[in-house]
Amino acid sequence: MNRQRQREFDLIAGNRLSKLKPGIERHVALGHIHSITLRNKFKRMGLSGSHIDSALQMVDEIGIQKTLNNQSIGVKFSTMQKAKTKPRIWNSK
Amino acid sequence: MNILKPLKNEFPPSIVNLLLKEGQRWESQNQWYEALGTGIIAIIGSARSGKTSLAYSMIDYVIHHSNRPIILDSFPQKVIDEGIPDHWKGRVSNKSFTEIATINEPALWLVDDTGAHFNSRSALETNNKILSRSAGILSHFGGGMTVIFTTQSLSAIDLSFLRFTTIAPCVRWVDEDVIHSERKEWIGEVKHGNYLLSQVSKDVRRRDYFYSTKDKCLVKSNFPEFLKKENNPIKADLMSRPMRYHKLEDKQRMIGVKEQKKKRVKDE
Repeated sequence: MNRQRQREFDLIAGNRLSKLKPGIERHVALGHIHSITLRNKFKRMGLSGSHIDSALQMVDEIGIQKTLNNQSIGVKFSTMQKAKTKPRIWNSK
Repeated sequence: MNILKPLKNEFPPSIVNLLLKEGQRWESQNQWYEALGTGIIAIIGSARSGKTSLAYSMIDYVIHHSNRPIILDSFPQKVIDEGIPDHWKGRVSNKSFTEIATINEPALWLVDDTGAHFNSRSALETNNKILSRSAGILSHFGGGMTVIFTTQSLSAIDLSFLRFTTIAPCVRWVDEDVIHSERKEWIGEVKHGNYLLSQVSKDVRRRDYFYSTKDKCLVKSNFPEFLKKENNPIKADLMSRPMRYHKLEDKQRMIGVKEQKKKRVKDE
């Protein structure tokens, strides 16, 4: 199976997974396994608060970056945050 | 019926550039331009997407802001006599594109539903041969002519319209299942235009805007007063679907139906 065909199937599979109720969370879909185990550990220990959220965010970001490392530069750029652009309308202020 | 004069910069520069007469100047967004006055404005859109009404808006603009004569290609005389708004009278005539060499004025032509007159499948017909020869020298005839043509797909029309001179394509709503059959050179622009239209338009057939590919922007599309059925339903229909008012033989000639030869019956 060539690469392009594999990507098409990946896209279809990804699209179907996103529609599963209630959908897969970002840290599960793109993050590292540590994002899940650490959440579980904090939950068992009954820990919560802003410092816990920061730790989870860091682990999530490391995991996502690890996933993106295998992607092309175009995919990496397309994941960057940017303002939604509106179409240009002639004579509108 | 109130006749509102369109603003001089109602359309973006690439369109005004072709609508005004050669050398006419206009200001738009603090910049002065000088009109080229010759070229082709292509309006692409599915049936009932407002192609003809946009073409009429452009003609109305020309009526108000220039003294160019208007020629409605192969329009029925009934439409010229009874359909056109009063302020167009004296400026509009109906001639066939085959007569282009006889016109010695910087006319603006409207060729409505080009697929019927200049179909890409009839490349060797007289109309298409005249078109392919004249498209490149539009600027020479009558001091520079402009042609507005409307079509449902650029695949259906003769390539001569797109090979020569300056063109300013305008994209209206195209049915999403029809876009796949668009010419490969234009499919990207048509798809992009339709995507942008879907972002801003609330109308089912996106008739409140069109996309100017040369200016890379959407343009608000005003529906002409004389096309509103509330004002005059008969005139509105005459202008909205003019080809309906052709005689039967003219309609048959347009779509290429020829009368079958009568079979000779031998006397017994």
